[in-house]
Amino acid sequence: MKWNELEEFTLAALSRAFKNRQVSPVEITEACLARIERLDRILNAFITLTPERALADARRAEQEITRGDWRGPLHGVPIAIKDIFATRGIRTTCGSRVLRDWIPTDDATVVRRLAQAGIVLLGKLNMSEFAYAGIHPDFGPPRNPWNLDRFTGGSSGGSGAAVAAALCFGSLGTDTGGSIRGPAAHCAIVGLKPTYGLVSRAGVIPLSWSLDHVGPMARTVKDAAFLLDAITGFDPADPTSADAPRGRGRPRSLQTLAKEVRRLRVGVLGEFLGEGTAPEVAARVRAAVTALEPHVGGVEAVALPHTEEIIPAWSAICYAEASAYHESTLARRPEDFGDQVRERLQVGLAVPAVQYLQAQRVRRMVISDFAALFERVDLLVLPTMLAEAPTIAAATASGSWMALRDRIRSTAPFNLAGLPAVSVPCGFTDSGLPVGLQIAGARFADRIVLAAAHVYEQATGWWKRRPTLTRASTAMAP
Amino acid sequence: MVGPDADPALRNALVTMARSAGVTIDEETATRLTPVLASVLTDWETLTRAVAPEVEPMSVGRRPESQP
Repeated sequence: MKWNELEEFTLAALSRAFKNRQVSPVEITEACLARIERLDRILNAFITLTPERALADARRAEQEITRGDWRGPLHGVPIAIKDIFATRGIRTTCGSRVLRDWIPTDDATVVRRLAQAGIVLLGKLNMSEFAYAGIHPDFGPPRNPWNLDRFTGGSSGGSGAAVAAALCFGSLGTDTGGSIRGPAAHCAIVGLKPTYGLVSRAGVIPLSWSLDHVGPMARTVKDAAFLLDAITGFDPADPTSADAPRGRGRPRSLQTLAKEVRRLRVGVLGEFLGEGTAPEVAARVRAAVTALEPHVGGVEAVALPHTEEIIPAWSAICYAEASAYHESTLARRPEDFGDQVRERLQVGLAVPAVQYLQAQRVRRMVISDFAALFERVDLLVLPTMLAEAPTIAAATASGSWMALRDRIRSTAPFNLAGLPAVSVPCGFTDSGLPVGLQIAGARFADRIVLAAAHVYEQATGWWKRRPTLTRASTAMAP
Repeated sequence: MVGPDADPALRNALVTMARSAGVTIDEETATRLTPVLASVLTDWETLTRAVAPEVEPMSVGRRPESQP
């Protein structure tokens, strides 16, 4: 297996090939490591590479599969995870100098669950510092495989780049205001922010504990579903963990659920297709709705009340919780934070308790608004990001974190309400940059959301288009 | 509420709140962050308007005069 043949495989296809002994986990892992060696000097997707661990995982998986002990669809599959998840014996930086040399003594629950599913861990992926703002100069920005001058989106940017460039077959990210879905949209992959509580956050460094979610990022919806199945489930180590009600959120095949999608009513949130949204993005999303319409029970325009209050509420909660978490480090080692994160944390110290509580009251209003909407429709669709990926220079410029408010306008509502939302590729702008369609559902309707995304994905085939990586390949050619 | 005259007060508030958390904010940083805090004040005004009793969905926490 050569490094440039990996793009032929999705996670699901690779899994079948392992099971049928057409390729071996060791062979694929070696090809992944060769591809990372060749491309990541340009993409900068990885913070820490774990080749010895990966090859050991691969050899174990190969032996188990060979003797018939197949653990499931992730067995032997090379995966890399955002550097926000604690990994026993592997440094976990969270993209910050503050944790530059931290080597955890335990795995996060989701990391342990992936290991139980038999993955091959390739390493830890680049990210915005503490998943908050900016890229710490110690690590530098990941580059978008579709255009190396463009940002991947944050904060799970390394995950977006690595999956899109086929450096790995899937990843885990975290999403506090759009940090899974944004990079998924900008890198033309699939990213799911699950229902709040569905996936454990034990061992995951928090940004804002009432807004943080852990979820899968992968090339296709089916691949993301495999990852979700592996990490879902009640975890007593996470006080916010919830067990999905029977029949919802539990593994059922996407093909089975696709039949249910035909009966579902889809609401189009028109306020995210007008002013403030790039016309090209709006056009691609409208085309996506047209493509989805024959496969669902009906499409209608709906509106979300209180949109003006959502970002102020999200901001007050995020600022306050992030500053509370980092308060003691900020007092003792302020110089170890990057400028943008340090300044944002300093501003967060000034959020009055009254405004934090008002924000939580607005949050209850928004949850009620969504509940009313989901009495009328089963799914909501809207753009994931309202504009194409910014340049790296613009995304990392001083003060750029103030622009974040605009970038998360279409994603943060689902963090505030804790609802499942997926981004699936739905086309490209004229400059060749990806656009994502966001599909959201009611609490614990994660599998239905994925099924609808799967139906759309299979009907349109955008997932088949891959970045050429010409510049990266050429730059690294011997 | 948010204007040039408010800047010294905001700046002092930022520095004081940070100090209460054991965080020192230097002069230059305080000057740079004051406009940011001013923009956040607009958010807080929005939140305050949004949770007027008539739209507050929870009965707990309503002011007595708004109880049905």
